[in-house]
Amino acid sequence: MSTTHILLSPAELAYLHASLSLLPPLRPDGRAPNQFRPVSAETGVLPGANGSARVCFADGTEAIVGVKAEVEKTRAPLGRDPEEEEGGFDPVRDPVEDDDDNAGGGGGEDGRAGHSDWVEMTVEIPGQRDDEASTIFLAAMLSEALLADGEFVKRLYINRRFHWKLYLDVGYPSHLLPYLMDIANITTRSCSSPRLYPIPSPFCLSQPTSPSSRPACRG
Amino acid sequence: MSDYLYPRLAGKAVSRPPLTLLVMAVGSNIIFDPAKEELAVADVALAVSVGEAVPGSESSSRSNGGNGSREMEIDTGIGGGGRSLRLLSVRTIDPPSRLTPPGVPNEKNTAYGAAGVSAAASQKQAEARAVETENVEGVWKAPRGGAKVLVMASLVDKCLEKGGVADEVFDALEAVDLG
Repeated sequence: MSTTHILLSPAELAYLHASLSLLPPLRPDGRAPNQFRPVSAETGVLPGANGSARVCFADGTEAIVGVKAEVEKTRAPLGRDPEEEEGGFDPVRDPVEDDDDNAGGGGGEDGRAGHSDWVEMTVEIPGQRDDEASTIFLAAMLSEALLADGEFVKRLYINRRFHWKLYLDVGYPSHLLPYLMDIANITTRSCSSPRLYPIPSPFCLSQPTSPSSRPACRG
Repeated sequence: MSDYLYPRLAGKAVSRPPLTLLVMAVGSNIIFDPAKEELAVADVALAVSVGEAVPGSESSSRSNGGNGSREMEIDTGIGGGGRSLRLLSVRTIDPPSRLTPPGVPNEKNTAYGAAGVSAAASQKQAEARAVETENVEGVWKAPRGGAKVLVMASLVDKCLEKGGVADEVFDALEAVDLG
């Protein structure tokens, strides 16, 4: 985080620190201690993504989040016969278990298990390398919150052999680069809106995943 | 037809994704959503992730069944509804204030006619050390050392408060129009 540095003189820092230590604290922009800056958000801004959101601050900084979902083959857990995994249908097994699980959303809860690999989050900040420590930290922090309770990845379960893989990309298109924590703030809040993102049902999978087919995929 | 990742019943969210709040403290004052100038003087900065306990899930039914009657007595009043918040994760963030150069008190500053105008190099070094260690009112000194446990605890408490900031932000996000 040392790369981005705000230029304030020691005297300014002392003044800010003193005014923030008052009771109640006096913030530079006159906000209450628990007051947020005004934020505007909109959804569905990226036509090629399965879901997207754009969050803007009053100071002109913004963040764009895109979510893409694709079906991925679930890796066989250790100890399971790989032949069975490849072979598809196994008549000895209960056929119900092989069926799509879509109808039994609530009922088949016990069979559903997720894995944190099913969500991939990347943060892109212009002017910074991909492997910059702060960027990776930010992405880890955001995905950690999503994965923490384990409920989220369960929703990505399709059936025993397939699952949805989610790619969440946080971009930061603004040219004026403010302090990194600003970005953290925006993205963390925009990240809390994957609920805005519709996931295509298996119906859509037969269609090409080109941007033009996208409106058909949306519910 | 497509499903929402977070299912909705009659236009109302059944469950919601977690929220990450950036919180900082100066002394014992807790400040939400700090601007960059404020972060530059933070003693502690935390990213606190708060989730909503999923209704019907194991953890929430336990908490509702267990102390439901006790919760009824505490009337927090504000907005919250029946929302119960869960702490998901806490990350400390290294505030940039630790990297700031310290200020120099006037009595040590040669530009203000301090004694050490002809000071030898060794004496200057000793002064530099004194500047780093002693606390002078109105002179900036970068925070050193870890955060106080009580401050950290109250930071997290404040995030989880019923009818507090997290509730407010959850309500605000609910108002975002899903195109």
